[in-house]
Amino acid sequence: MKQFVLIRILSLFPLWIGISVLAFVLSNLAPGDPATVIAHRLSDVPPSEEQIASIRREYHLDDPMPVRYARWLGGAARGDLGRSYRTKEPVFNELAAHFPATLQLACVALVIALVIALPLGVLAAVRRGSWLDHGARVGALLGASLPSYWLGYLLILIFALGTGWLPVAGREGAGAAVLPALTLGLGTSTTLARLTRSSLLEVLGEDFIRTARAKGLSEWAVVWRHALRGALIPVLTVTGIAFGHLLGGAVIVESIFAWPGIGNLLVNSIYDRDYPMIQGFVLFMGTVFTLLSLVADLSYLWIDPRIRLAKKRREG
Amino acid sequence: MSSEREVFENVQARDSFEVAGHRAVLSSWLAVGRQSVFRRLTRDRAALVGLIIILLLVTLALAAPLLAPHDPAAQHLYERLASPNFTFPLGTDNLGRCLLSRLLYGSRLSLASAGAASLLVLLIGVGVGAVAGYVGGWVDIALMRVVDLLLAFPLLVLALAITGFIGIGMSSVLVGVVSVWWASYARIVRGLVLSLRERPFIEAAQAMGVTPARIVIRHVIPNVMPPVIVLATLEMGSLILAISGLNFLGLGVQPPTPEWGAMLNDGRLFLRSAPQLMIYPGLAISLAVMGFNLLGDGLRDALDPRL
Amino acid sequence: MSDLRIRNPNSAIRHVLELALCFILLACGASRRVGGEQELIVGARADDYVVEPLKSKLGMYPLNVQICEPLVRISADYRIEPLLATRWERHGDTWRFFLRPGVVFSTGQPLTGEAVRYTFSRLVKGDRAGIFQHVYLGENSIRVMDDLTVDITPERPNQHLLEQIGHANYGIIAPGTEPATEPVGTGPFRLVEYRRGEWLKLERNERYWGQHPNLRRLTFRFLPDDTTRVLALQAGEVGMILDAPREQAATLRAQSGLRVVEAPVGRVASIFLNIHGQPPYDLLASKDLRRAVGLAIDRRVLIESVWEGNGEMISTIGPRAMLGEHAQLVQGFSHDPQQAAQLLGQEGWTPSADGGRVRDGRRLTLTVIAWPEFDTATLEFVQAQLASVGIELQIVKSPDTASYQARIESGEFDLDLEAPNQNDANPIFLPALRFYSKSTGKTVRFFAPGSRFDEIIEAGIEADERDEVTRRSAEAQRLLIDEEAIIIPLAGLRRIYAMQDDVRDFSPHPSLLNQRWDIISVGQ
Repeated sequence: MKQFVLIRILSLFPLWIGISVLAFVLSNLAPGDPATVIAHRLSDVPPSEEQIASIRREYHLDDPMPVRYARWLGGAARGDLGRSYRTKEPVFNELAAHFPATLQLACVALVIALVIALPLGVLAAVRRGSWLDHGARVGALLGASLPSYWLGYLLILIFALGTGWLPVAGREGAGAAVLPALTLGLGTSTTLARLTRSSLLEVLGEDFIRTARAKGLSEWAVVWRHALRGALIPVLTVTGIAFGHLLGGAVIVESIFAWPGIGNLLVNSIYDRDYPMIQGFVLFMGTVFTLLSLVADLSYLWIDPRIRLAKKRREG
Repeated sequence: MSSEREVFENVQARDSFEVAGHRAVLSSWLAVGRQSVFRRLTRDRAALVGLIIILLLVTLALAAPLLAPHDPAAQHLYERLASPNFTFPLGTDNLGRCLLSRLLYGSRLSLASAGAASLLVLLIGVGVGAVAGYVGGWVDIALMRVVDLLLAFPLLVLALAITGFIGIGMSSVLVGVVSVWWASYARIVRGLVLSLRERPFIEAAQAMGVTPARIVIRHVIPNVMPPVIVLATLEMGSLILAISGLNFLGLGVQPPTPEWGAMLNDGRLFLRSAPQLMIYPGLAISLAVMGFNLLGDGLRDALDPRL
Repeated sequence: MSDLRIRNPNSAIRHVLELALCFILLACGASRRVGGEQELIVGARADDYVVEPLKSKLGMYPLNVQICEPLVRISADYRIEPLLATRWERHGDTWRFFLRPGVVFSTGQPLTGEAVRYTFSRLVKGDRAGIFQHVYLGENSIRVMDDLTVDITPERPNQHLLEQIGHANYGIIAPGTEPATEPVGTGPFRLVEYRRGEWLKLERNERYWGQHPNLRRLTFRFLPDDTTRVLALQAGEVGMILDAPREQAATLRAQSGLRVVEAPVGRVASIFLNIHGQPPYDLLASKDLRRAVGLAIDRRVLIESVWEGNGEMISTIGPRAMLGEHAQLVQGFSHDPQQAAQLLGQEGWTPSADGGRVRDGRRLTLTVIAWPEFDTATLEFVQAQLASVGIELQIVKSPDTASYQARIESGEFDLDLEAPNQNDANPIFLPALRFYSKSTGKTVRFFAPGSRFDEIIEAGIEADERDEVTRRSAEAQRLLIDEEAIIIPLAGLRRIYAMQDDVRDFSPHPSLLNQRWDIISVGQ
């Protein structure tokens, strides 16, 4: 077990190298360069060749790519990810300042997704084949099929303008996270609902459930007391992965709701050609994903042999 | 101890429950065969609805030149933002172009690009996953690290960089989406191949001296296809959304080419004054995504013996 | 068995449901944030501010919120008004400015010539962004004569200094401060808080020398998404929005409780033609082809139909107010597709079967690039108009400004659609900047007309009287537009502001950079 965790953590290093090289190469090969962007931002007068060249010199942008990458890598190894071209703040500070907002959004979105998915999934499984089942599946699908930008505006129209309960955009106020999280969460809810349904159906097909039914327990008691525990385990595992996707996938939602998270930060950094920020972001998200998947796998690992053992004991 | 080792291997393929589900599909396919699958599928009403939706959309897309009442690029500026009427069955957009015609022609691009992307992702993902799963060892480890890398990489950076080389257009959107998407397929296929590897008929082929390449091509891949097709169908929805999302950001088709995601983007500013500009393409996308999801669910239900 | 199971999932579910309920209740209970009395929240576009020590100034550029004030002010009709300088004199090449007595910075320090010297010498030192292209200021150009008198002597004779120093970048800062992060000025507002990408919060400067602003608090919220900005206004979350999209102007006008105000034309959406391009972008070296492009576009329909009336017919590349009576010198383009077709035919472009034109096996195709803020509808309209005379137009949209800049600098385009800014009061500024061959702008090499034009510009730069400068500017534009067809003005753009009914005394300036916020009041 410890070996397993150790290997996974050690594999972070090649991941960091690989992903930072990829990001570095791609950002530098994209058209446009940060010096031109900065020069244009500083004045409404189109800058001259000389002015752009002097900014390039200042940021060492004329050095060959491998040299610049090595310099960055050297800094990163010491824990210094450089400074954002745009704000001159350390990259790490920028990420740390913006991450909580995205984290908050992802958490609330996950809660919403679970609140929708679990009851729906359970109902669909218990009343399998009925109109409730079909209706729930279609309903969940509808929520997931809507493009997030469309859904976002729709929700603003209904809840912010129509009823005035919630703010249109921004992170201020207690209810500010609800609409963006709802927009995000509806998509996740379908995967989880589908998973809950199929997982519960699988468990309901098992022997020990038949035993419980034979004892004369009502269907709901059977589900609630016996089936649900086992059925939710894979759901929780996938929830971990879904959480990772939520953390990384909030770009459009953050831009519509002016939510100051890392999705917004990433898009602005890309448009600004803010290379240190892009590098930092990619490294950060890569690490977050790897750690999340490690946790998901660990939880499955922790659970799995015991289920096997439990099953063996039941059969034996 | 050995059961723990099994679980380790199991866990290497990360989407644990998903893979287990696909494996069940695989076993059932190997055991049961086609006929009962079709029977179960046709009994599933939701799946049939999904199939009908897809067939309808594909037909409309193919027949667009025949069905569209107007040239999708033709501007009738004195009839902009018209409500549905006899000449323009769904009304017009802000440049007076027929919305119905644009939706129809747009379906061709949206569906075709999603289909092409799906096919490419399938080919690459199955290929890489099969090789990684069958060969194992260093090849496996290396390939899976590449997969990890791609899964962690933000799509937007990639897409923007690619537009730099190829220029903006549908092709760069496709390249961007495919480059990232094949990774999750590869991972799942690898897990499937791992379980397939132990099967008697594979061992028999090995014993007979069939080359690994042939085994992979003639035995492994064909048997992996059914669960992969389920996966592909379910993923089509996400592909359509991703492609339309990139078009929405302005990275894809160039005006005046109609495409659902781009139409959504164009309609953004008319949210209150002419909401139909967003509603129609939004509905179209939702319909397509829903159709594929329903069908995919149905396929999986039909194939998975546990349900 | 039980000790091997996961912690009771049932209670986990219960906890989750409780949490969710809390969220929903919290949401319902959230009170709407409403600005208090004399407080205004403005919804602005994306936050474009870049921190560059020695070069950038928070709250002054690109969003000027009157934290600092320059020596002179540019009025809405591009006239120079005294601000921190009450009067000025010219002695040969030297300009002498007399500072207003009794002015203090928001921290209490008095305004003296030293502050002016500090401000200008920083600008010279940090000048990388070319503000000084035609200003010719050097290290020794500023001399402090006494506390309230400053002499400015440009390194070369500069008739336009007065107009140039009215630009927001010349806002006077307190000596020893770093305006990139902590601006300290003499203006009616002072900075309270800046959160990048979220808001810029200001408060009334109680030490202001002039008429105190009615607003006690002024906040700019950055809402980059156009639709969200409009929705925020409609929901009452902001009191005013900048740059309401023109597509929503009609809806906003129709809504009771809201008011739409348009600024006078400050910029003109124009097509720049690449006359010095490399193949395959070499077609526009032909003047007749250029004229055909200009004649094929029906501007009136563009403004009335596509823009829903939110624009102005204009034949110059800058606001008409800049040229005064000399604006008549510039005719501009009429809409004459027959003549356009005739010109194309004369050039040897014969119509082909699919509606296009060919010559010697080469298809008539032009490529247009556009400043990313431009809406697709305008581009598609131009495309359809050109198609009607047989010119195929390929639209190359850039996803962001960096790609656009890269593309335009590479010269891989025929047409370039943009709306150049006019933020200072110098009439010769715009034509000189983009077309004068000795200008250092990177894109001049695609558009420069040549020596005759250069002579007009030089005469304008050296002219003494404003009337003379204006006339030269008009002549230069006539050459660019009427004679050489290097630039095709499409329509004048008016910034659209929308606000709640209780926002009063808002007077829009054609240039956002010179917009005054201190005269606004809120409420009865």
